[in-house]
Amino acid sequence: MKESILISLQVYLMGFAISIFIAALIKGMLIVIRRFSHEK
Amino acid sequence: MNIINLFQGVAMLFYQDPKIAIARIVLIILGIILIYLGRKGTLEPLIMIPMGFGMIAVNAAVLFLTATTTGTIFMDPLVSDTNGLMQIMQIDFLQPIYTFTFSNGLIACFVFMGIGVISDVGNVLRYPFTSMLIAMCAELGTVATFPIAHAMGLNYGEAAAVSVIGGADGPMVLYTSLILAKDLFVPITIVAYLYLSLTYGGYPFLVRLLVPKDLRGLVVKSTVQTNIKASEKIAFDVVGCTILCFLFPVAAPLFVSFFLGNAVKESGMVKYTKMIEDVFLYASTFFLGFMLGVLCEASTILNPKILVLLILGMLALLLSGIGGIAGGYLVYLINHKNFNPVIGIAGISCVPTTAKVAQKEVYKVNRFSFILQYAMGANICGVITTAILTGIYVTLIPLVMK
Repeated sequence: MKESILISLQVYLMGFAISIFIAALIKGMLIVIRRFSHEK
Repeated sequence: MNIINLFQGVAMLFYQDPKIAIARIVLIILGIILIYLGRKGTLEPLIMIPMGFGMIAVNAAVLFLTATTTGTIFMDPLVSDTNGLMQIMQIDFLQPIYTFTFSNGLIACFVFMGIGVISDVGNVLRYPFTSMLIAMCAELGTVATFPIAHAMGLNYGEAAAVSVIGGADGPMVLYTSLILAKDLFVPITIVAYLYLSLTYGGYPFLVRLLVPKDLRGLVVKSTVQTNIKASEKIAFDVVGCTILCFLFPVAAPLFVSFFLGNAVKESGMVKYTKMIEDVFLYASTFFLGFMLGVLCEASTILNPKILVLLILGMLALLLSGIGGIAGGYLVYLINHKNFNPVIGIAGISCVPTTAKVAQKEVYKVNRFSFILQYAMGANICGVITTAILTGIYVTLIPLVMK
């Protein structure tokens, strides 16, 4: 039981970190694309 | 010669174990009910009508395959040796579809490609953090069900497969159960699709229960008025696909299907878009429903674990709904009360059903509150977060089980 709780916590934390990383990446990507197209 | 032996489907009812015979009749009746409820619109007709016909036919058409063995001439999901498979493929008419599209997950990928085509990632790009936060909160059922399922006697693979029902994404459940719980993939997928058909009817009650009326009608004052270009959406598809495939190669077929489908639409390739949406998506959905019905043989449904799966499937979706609305409240507090908590339910990735549920519930209270763009953002992020959690499960569980 304890091990399965730890696994689910591990899955959630990894998923959370990756999701927030992707969200940050989207923000960063949009800034870069817009700046690049603006400079053009 | 007994005249009844001419009609083998009927004769089998007397020849077989009475338990199996009763289960066959119950499943035929259930098939008729599914067709009725699908036709009525209570359940999703695209899945339920083919599934109902499959259930009726497979349980009625049982015959003697040899002098001692009984079965049907639809397909044999358990055959594993190459010679046997080649032989069955020449007799059972659905065996080629099962072997070449179902058991390797291709059908799930086709459905996912179709979801990619019908999805607009613009709202994800407009509100990335909000959408991702809500979607992750709406994954509560996907993770919280896991230890409960294990405590109820399922092994880690089975527990993970049934937990993914909390993500409310049919193809993902199919894919996970095929990889982690091959023996239980039929009942798990059937339970998932039955419940997913009911989300449209069930979640509005949860929303009304958890969000008071004055908050349900809240108008969200938009601060972001960004116009997202098609090229930016394609850039997101490329980056998202690359990163997720790097992280979870096991779930790469699902990732590439979704992002490719979306990139095809955003590239303006009308013929490909039409092909994926009209042919791949609908053909796959049709065969998915039909095959699930055909897989509902009496012996499969008499599996003692089915009751556990029914309880866990409902629990997973309920917890995800609660988590999603809790996420809505969290964003409501973070945004200084400029957010409608109902949007939280859209974090559950049942595209676009839960987003529609959110908008419908808000519209009932306040006709001037439009939250669909936020709901769609959370909805698409729900697909992405479910794919991420699926990727983690299918990568991690085999390592833990070793």
